[in-house]
Amino acid sequence: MARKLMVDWPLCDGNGVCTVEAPELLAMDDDDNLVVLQEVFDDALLAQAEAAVRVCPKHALKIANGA
Amino acid sequence: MGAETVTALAYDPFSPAVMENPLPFYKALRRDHPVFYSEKYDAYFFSRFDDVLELLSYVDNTFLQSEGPIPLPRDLVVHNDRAPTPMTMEPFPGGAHMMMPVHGDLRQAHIKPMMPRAVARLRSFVRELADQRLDALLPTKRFNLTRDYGGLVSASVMMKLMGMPLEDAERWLDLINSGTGVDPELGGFNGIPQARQVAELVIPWIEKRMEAGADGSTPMVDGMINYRFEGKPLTPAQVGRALICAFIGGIETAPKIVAHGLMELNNRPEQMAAVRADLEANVPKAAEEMIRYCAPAQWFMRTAHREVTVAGQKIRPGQRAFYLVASALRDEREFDNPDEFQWDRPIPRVLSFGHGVHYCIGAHLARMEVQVLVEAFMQRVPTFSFDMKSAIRPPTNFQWAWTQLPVLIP
Repeated sequence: MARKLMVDWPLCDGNGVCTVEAPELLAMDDDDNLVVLQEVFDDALLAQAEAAVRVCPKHALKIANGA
Repeated sequence: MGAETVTALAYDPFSPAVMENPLPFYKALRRDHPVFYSEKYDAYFFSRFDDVLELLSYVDNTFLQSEGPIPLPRDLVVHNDRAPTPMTMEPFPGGAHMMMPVHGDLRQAHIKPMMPRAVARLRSFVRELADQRLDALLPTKRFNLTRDYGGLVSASVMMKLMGMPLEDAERWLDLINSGTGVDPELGGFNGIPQARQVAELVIPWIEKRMEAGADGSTPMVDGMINYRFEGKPLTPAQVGRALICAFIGGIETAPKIVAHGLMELNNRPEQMAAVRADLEANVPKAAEEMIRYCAPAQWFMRTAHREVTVAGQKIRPGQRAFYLVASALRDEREFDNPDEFQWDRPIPRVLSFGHGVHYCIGAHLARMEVQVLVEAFMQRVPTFSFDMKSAIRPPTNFQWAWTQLPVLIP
């Protein structure tokens, strides 16, 4: 099933802990900015996405259904 | 402690017994009244880890610092019959009081130097500062580990971030340290006069930076100078007020964790030996336990701006919610034997830096400073002891910490 990873950009600081949990979905650039590698993902990456949502200290990530 | 009974029902964050040692009260609250209501303050107190996390997970302006995060009793005995008016940019008390998204914009305008890659680039500078301090202090054989070691290092780091001269570090350190005690007349920590005073003193630096062009080479200050609210820049006074949370926080907290943490480790020779076996590998882990065990901030408050339920408790607009961070960090449901200092315990989640909208912007910097300061001290000082008879941990509702921790070097 297709899901979408949503970033609440006013909340996102660039703390980067999400990228450790979800390296296929999220990365940091050299200026500590978050880069979304892919917004829409399927079941294979759900565990990564859920871990990223959980560890974000700003509570800035959400998973939405659909593409 | 006196004969006052430690029961959850006796909990009042401003009572002398609680301010002297809140830990037994937190235990009783977690066990008997995890959601504790104070009629006096019309406030709910959340003491368990999961409940604090639940409260802080509201990132949508449900809870605001519209009455400030650390109120005084005189503020709380007046109740609200509805949500208070949220604070706005005019007058501007500081970025932390603003609603999202403006709060987020203000925050992001100045946090770049405190994000992970930028902090990593500061590591060797912090180590240099630590070594300079130790060069000066170790021959004296006795000094205040909190102020003279960590305090001066953290203050120097903030000088660099603010574009101020390093020689001014001591002056700012003493000014900021002098303001975090309890006001005896008001019965609690009164943050406002100090915040105003610091902001005033910062203004000349802001003006200087504005004249120099704020080209981004001092990113913390330049970012705030170049921020536009509805197309207009902030005044120097507003820029000052927007920066002081980071400025004061960056000087106040890490030194206390380092000093207290070294003392707790030193009290446990087996653990000290274990950490020493491989400092490079072990100090980061020990630092995390120090951050859990020694984090000085006790609690913060929010005011509800709509009806909301937290930990099964309905909260009405205008009522207050206190989250007891220091209680969460000793929660038996989250940590085994939580009152034991165990350097290598697993810490899957921690709340020392908070969570959500107001998550500590200095968390990466604080972690790095604690690691570097602890490692440098342990590398260079093979044995040490403390004069606990002269040590002082002042009673307070705000940052409960050893402000005087005399360390003795043989």
